[in-house]
Amino acid sequence: MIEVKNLQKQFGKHHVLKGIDFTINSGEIYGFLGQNGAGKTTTMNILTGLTSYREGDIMIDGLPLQGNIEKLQKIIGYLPEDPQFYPYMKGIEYLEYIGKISGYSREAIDKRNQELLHLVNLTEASTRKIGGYSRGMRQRLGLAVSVYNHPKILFLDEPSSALDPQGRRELLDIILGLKDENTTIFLSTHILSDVEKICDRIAILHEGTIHLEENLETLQEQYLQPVYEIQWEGNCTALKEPLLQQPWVDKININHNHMTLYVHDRKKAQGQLLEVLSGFSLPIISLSLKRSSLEDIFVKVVNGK
Amino acid sequence: MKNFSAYFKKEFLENLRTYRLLILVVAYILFGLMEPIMYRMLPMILESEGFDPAMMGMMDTSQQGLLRSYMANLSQIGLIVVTLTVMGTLAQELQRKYWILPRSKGGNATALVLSKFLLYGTGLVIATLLGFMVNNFYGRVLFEYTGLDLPGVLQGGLLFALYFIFLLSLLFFLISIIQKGIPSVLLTLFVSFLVFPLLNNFNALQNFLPYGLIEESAKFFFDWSSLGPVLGSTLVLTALCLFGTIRRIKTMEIL
Repeated sequence: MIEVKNLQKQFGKHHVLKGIDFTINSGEIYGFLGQNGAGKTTTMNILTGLTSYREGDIMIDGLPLQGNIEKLQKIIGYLPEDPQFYPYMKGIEYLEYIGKISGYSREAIDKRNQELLHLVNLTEASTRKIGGYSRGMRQRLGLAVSVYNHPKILFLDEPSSALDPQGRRELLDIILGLKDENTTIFLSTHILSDVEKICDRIAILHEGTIHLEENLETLQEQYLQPVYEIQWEGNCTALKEPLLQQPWVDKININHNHMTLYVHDRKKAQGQLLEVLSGFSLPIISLSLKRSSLEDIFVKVVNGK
Repeated sequence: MKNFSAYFKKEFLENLRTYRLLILVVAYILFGLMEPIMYRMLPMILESEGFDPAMMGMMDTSQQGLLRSYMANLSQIGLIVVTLTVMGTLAQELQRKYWILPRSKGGNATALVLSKFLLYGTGLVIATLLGFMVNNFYGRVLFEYTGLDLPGVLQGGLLFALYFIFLLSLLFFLISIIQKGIPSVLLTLFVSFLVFPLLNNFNALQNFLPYGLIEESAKFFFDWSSLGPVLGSTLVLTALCLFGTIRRIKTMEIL
């Protein structure tokens, strides 16, 4: 659906993108992560035809972007990070304006406006001037604009950054709904918990190159820390020495009845840990394998650890 | 043209809500009204201040003199009002990135620029003609002028408006380059107040400078056929400015 090869972009002497490659499959939600200034927005602007690029090949829906921008804009939706609207226009007037630019008929515009206002929960505010909207309301109106033309591919740049928790949850539901309709979604966000909830694959852009691109589940599996947290019913200090005898145990930290057990071979530990622990007379309250959050993975990748 | 009606309707709505064109029309009419009143009251003011009212004799108080004085004010204060009022329409579009969302939906720069130009150009012609008519009518009422008829006044007004339309295209072009309103306005004023009067001293250029429209419009009785070079060059320069504006916006990098 989207294929990017060796994409490069330079602003003056600053190389923002130093040759990035990625492929996004049809109907996939692709999380695009990176620090501020990493080049996420530049990548989006290039893919939506709003910015030129120095070198590279971009194929969208089987067509090269170069020379087909107008054609491709018909199947693309884009929500910028901070969408700007004419403040003197009312929400419904703006949607009507977008409908006309998109080439819709009068009847189709009326129908689509009502659908979208309902979708983004702005029906009541639609007759108010946009200048009086909150940032969250503008973000929701921007989302309505971005999906106006039933896009096959949707680019969302920090779509939930201005939303309250309720608004964020609703936005994620809308995005998942669009995925059900087989819309391909390219999502850039700083809110990693959102990425964990909805993305199929992620890429981490750092210093102009993609440092990591992986399926989210595989990624968590790869970065799963081989550390077990064990809660005992009483003081477990005496258990440290016998456990350290196990060849797969690396290190043990004990704090009264709480034990953190570091292993260097998770597979062996998985097979033998329960058997070893059951040999002790002290009862166990809980045992868990610590999972890396996307935030941990992001920090590791960005810091090169 | 694709998108044009959507953009034009948007521009029309913008003017209804921001009153830009209304401000222009009101300013032109006020200038038109003030001029005859000032001419009427000046002898009394001079007398009350202890000056000799005969000093009025130094001023051209004929019907054409009154119109020329009005034109002089319009070409100075009026131009400042016009450029400051109109600059926001394109500068905000680019600076505040209002045009990004419509562009991502296939909106085009040609429709964006031409709809603005058409609306403000038409507004300028209407405001200028109304101002000239008000000035002439009030002059006739206060001074009981006869002689210069309405078609002559309107022809003068039309040439005057054409010069302002050229400056409008120049302002658009400068905004597309600088992307800021005030510096573009200052450059436009610099061209009209300093560059054109200077270039007008060169005989070879006189017939081709849009500035010549101001001089021609002050004659009120003119031969349209003799205006060919200045009208042609103004048209070409206006078209070039608009083409440059559209081209610049089309190739503008969104950061």
